[in-house]
Amino acid sequence: MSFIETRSLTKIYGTGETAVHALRRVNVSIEKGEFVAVTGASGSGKSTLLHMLGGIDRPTRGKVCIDGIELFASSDSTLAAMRRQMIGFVFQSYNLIPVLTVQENICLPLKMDQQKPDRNYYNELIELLGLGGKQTRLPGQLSGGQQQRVAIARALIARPAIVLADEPTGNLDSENSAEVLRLLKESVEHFEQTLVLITHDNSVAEQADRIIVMRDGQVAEDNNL
Amino acid sequence: MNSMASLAFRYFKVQKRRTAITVISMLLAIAMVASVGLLISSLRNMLIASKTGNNGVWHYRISLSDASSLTGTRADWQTMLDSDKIASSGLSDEQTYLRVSDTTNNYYNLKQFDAAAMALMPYAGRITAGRMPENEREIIISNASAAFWPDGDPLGKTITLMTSRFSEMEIVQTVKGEEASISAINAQPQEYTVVGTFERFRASNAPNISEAATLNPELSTGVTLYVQLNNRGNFDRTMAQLLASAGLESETVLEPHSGYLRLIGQGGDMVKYLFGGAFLLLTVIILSVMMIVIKNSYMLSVVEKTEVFGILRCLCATKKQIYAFVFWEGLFTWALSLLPGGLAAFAAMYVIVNQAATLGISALDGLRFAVPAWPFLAAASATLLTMLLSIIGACKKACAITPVEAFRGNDPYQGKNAVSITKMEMKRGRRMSIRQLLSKRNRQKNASRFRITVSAIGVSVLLFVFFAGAATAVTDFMGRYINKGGMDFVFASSHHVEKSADSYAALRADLAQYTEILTMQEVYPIEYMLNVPEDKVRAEYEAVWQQFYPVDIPFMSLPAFAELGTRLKSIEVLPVNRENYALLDLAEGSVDYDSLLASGSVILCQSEVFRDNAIMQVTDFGSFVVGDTISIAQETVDGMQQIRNLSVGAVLNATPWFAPERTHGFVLVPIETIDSYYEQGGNTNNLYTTGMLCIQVAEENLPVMQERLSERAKSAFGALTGFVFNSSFANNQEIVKTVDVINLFVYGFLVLIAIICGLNIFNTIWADLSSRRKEIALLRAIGMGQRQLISYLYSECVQYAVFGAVPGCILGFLGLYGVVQVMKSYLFIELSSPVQIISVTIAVTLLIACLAGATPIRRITKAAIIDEIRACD
Repeated sequence: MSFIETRSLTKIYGTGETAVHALRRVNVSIEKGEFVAVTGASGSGKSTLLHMLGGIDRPTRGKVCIDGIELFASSDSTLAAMRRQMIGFVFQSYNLIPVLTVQENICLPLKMDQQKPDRNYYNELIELLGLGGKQTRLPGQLSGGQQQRVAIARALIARPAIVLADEPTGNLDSENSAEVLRLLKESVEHFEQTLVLITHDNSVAEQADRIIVMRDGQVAEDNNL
Repeated sequence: MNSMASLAFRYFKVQKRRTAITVISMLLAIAMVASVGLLISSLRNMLIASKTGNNGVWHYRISLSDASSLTGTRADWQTMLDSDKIASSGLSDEQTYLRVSDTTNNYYNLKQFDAAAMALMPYAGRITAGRMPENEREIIISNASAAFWPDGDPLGKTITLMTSRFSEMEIVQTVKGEEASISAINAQPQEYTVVGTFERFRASNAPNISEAATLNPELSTGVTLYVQLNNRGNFDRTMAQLLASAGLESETVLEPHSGYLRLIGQGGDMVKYLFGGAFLLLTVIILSVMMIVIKNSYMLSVVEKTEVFGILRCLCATKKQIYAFVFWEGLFTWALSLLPGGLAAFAAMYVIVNQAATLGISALDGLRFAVPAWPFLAAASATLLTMLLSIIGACKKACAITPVEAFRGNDPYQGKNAVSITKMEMKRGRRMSIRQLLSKRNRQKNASRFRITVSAIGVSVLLFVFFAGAATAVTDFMGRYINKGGMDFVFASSHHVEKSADSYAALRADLAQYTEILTMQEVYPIEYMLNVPEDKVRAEYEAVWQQFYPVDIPFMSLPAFAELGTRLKSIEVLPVNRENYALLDLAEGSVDYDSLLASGSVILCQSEVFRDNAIMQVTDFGSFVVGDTISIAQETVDGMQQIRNLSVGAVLNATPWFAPERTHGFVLVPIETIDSYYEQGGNTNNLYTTGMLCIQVAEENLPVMQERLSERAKSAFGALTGFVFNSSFANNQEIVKTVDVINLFVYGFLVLIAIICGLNIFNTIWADLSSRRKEIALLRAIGMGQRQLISYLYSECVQYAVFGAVPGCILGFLGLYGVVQVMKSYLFIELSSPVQIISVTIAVTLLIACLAGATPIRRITKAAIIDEIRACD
């Protein structure tokens, strides 16, 4: 069994004639430690697939299994615990908590688990992501690239097994985009994590181990590079 | 409609929830202000009806006999009376009295009126039987006093009465030093026909035998001129001018109908200060709460429309136009609230006032629902002004929104509500749980919203603690007037008809038809002094005496009759019958009734009731026991001292149920022997004429017996002649009902304040959570569990409640304490422990806050995570 597996994953919005099939019986398998890029046109179902993998959206039909555990058969508290401990999510629009500082945003998943961060690991992340000297700042005091780095750090602080990134460079300029991508790759390699990343950028996609192309809610191509 | 008005109207319709909450809050405020005005009007009308119902609708009476020059006829006064400032005037002669019988003080003051004066009197509206008199040989008399006519109901009968003028009465001294008119010089017999009976405004069984009235259409001279002015200008000044025009000083002859004049706004500041002050105070309280709520609501509304205002500024809207936008929204809310608020006030007061009027509380006799226009106008204008003042802040906030802020959102590090992140803050943050940290930071970010909401809660809680505490103190105070364990009903001698032992026997026989009566006891109190040896005086008694009486009145004084080594104590000698003796709580060793009779010994009650306003304390003054000998003394008719040495055959452990309250200890004797204790040589019928028959009934039968005995007492002839019915049960019921009415109004008012406050909390929490939907969804996306999230959100609701309720409770209690300390100079009022009220208040506030948050919390926690994030992107 693969580390991440979806079986006949389906998501339908609305009903009847106005129903929108965002995902149609999608079957995907991802191994541990893989770097997978998901591409496709707008509305192809990329983000929907990612949200299902992260447990933040429920499928209409089908299953998502992570490390043998069926995600949506679990209770809400188990699902929340998995999101805290096993999954790190990086959103396109950073989505930091505006009233918390950089440090507090980064440590948020651990604080929810009532755990203290490993000081060394935390410092390592800060250094890796170039956030030294900005830990007491609020998100509103940071640039877009800096905010995205904080979001990445937040996604990594709990050493999750899986990192899901939804167009992490979508709102960044090319310089910041390259930098963020490099950091993501470095950290998942460093910490042996599985990375699933959505991108419109072919140059980004080509850096992945595997590219899944979505079209009309289905996997159109699955290239193992 | 201009563009800003139509835009405001569009949003007014779109923001349904916010609009509904704001409209309801304003509607409640309008209803409450108008209700206060309607209630005040109804109460004022009730007081006016009471004054005019008792004394008539005249404004002034001029005493024609007080000045030597005033002996003229109506013709002499006609010039003054012809003034257009006088609406009506009439003459009366009130100096005649009619003797009903030979019994002392049994007479009527016969008042004669001409037709105009009679019209100003209250009799016509108070006729209970018969009709008004049509000439000077026909009289009407007060209803209850008909019972004192020696030959039964006088209605319709023609009677010859001795008629005399007051100036011709003779005054004599009685044995007790009182003055009493017992005969008249030059009294003439005159025939009168009693054509009707009338009732005083406050229907009462107390006789008013001093008044009869007749109409003398030809009355041309008299001693009093009654005047009613036209309702224009200052009455005092008008009367002074009129009298001056007739060459008279108003101070010597003029008597205003003071209470009535004050109530109609003349002759003093009562209307202004009492009614106006009460209206103003309550209106200010209501509108203060409303102002905070409305202000908060419009601030939230502006925050929600930040982007809209940013766009308007981008499109070069001026500040004036932005002001207009917010103003129109406020105006629509106010306009929409007016009619329902007015209707709600009308309906609520219609029900409440009419219900209160049916409760049978004597203080509310004649209460009728009044609907003048001024409460509605006052409510409309006061709430409009409050609304305008409330939206000033929102207008300024709307104008301050820049396009950049509108599109980028409200960064928490900028502006007044900046979140401060110092090293200390960081250090503290590390020690806090995520729930505490997020709550604190969000409070900092939305500090003004938090402050306004907490202020509204604080003010509401302050009002609740203050008024609920005051109502509790007042009801406790009034509750002390409730008599428990004493006599339930009393037939007391009116002192105007001579009584004997047979009178009470006849009364007993009459009342024997009521099987619900448990026991009856005749009470003929006789005052004595008891010699108390020093060694029998209880030490604690003196301390209680000092507490209730001024220091310079020593207890047990009057050494003139005291034996050496004793003190004198005032007591009353009362009779007890065999039936009630068996029911008394007697000390051990007390003998039986037959032994008392045989030995001539007595029962001693050493319990004294001290009463000062509503505070009562019972304490023993002496330590006599069964077998002791006591010495009592009384001054006789001829000024000698009668001393009796009596053996104590029984000692009471408690005051007997039939004991009158204003007493200082008792000696009870078998009723068969009571005559011997009356002053030697005195007329024992005087003893019975000042007595009473006390009745006890089982508790479950009190209401039915109240009704039956009241009805029986109305036809006060035969056995009941000369007896007046009083009911402790009715008095207690009146106190209970009065307390209920006070509590109804106070707690009704507070519940409405609480509703307004609750709506405000709901509004704030909903807006707060709605503005943080994305943040909350993110927390869930990152892994915050459902339970953790719900606990976090409810903890924020609790914070609103606690931060508002705690200072509100403290300030409310301090205010109440201060007022009670001031009131203690006038009333013995006590502040009960605040723990209960404060606990209830905080619990209710917490409940309201959690209920206010329940719906938005449920909605937000159940929504799909990604939908919430996307909706806010």
